[in-house]
Amino acid sequence: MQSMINEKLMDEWHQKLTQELRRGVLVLAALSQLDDAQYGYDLMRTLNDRGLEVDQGTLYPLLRRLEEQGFLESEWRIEGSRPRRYYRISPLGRQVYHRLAEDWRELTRVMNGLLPELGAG
Amino acid sequence: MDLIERYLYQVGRYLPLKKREDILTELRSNLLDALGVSEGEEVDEERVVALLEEFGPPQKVAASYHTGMNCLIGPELFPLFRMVTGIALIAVFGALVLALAVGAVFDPEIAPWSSPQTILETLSGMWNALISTFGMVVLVFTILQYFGVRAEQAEKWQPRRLPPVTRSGEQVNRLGIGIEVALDILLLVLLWIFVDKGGVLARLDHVVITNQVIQAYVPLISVVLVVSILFHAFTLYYARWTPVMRLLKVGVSLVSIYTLYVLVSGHIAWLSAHGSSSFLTTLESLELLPQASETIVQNVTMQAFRLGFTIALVVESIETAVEIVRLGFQAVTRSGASPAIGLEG
Repeated sequence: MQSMINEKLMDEWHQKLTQELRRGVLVLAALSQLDDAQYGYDLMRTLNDRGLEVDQGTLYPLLRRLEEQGFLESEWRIEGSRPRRYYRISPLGRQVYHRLAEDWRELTRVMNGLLPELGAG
Repeated sequence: MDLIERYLYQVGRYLPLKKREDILTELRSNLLDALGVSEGEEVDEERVVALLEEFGPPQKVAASYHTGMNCLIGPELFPLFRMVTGIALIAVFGALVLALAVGAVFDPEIAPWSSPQTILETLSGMWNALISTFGMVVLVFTILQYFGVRAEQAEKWQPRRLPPVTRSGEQVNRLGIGIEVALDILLLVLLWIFVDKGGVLARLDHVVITNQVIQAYVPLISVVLVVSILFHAFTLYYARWTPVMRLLKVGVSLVSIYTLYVLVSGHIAWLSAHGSSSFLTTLESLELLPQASETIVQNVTMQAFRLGFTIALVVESIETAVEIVRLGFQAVTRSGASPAIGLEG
């Protein structure tokens, strides 16, 4: 019984922490895929297909925030009977993206160096 | 499909008006994309429920569209808010209790415990005062938050300015000192009302009472009270008891003791000059005359003042003696003791 509760708690914590990790990289992931304009659901599918599971409730507000900050540009397009909002990376967003990508490469290098120590420790 | 519209309607209720239509149109489009249907097309309700469950409750979804700090008082201001709220509530509560006690002493008819009705009125009055104090503090901090004021951000953060660690026995009891300041201020105000009204304070049978002894020492009492208020205010700011602070405290206490002594002996002299030596004989004379004359009421009041000042004198003397002993003890332990906290360990 005790171990079942622990297992459940562990799952909850794991889920929360994974979410936090993903949220951290979501900006970079979104910027990386928006050279060509995409609408929200489209982008989510692209990311999922590439193996990054994204919570829709997190992605859509994030796109709006990035647009407000000037990193994305958007436009409404009518397709069929339905309007869709397409997002594309802005020139400012591209600059930020290149810097962030550099940071990410450095960070993964450092983290890869740290993780085996953790495993051995 | 009805479920999606109901969902969007609820999300919209929590969205800012300016962006509402735009966000809802996009959200509807994304939801329909996720279901893989076009508008108006029928879809299995189970799938819609599963999708909406994944999206999350309307309030949460709407909240994630709000940019900026989405709260009344942010985390930067919160510690200051908590401290100010505590001080404000204690000060208001203390002042109310003191005002009620003083009012009750001088006019027993309005004492809070005189009838069940006044007890209820007093409690509800207190409750209202505390709630509105809390409300005012929240209002002030909400305005500060709105205009982006941050606590202690004007200056560059300087680690060297950190106050030293407080040892046990050095902590300042903010509550106690706060009450003392409130009491001193109240006494000062009462003293000056007393002077202003030519010495009226008692309304026993609507007889005007003067206290010539207090009137004679108004400047001395005022100075002592002001010094005490300033010292305690500084203690609240300085927030710890160092030997110097304790010495200062003893100094302030000695001045208070001297003043109380002068007042007590002044009252004794006045009472013996007016043929009223002890409290009990005065009370007995009061019983003899049911229709209390002005002189007797005056005598009783002076006896009450004498008793009050005597009690204050005794309490203050004991406190000061304890303080002196503590000061000596601290001096002894400090001279030979090693630091309680060390890095070498």
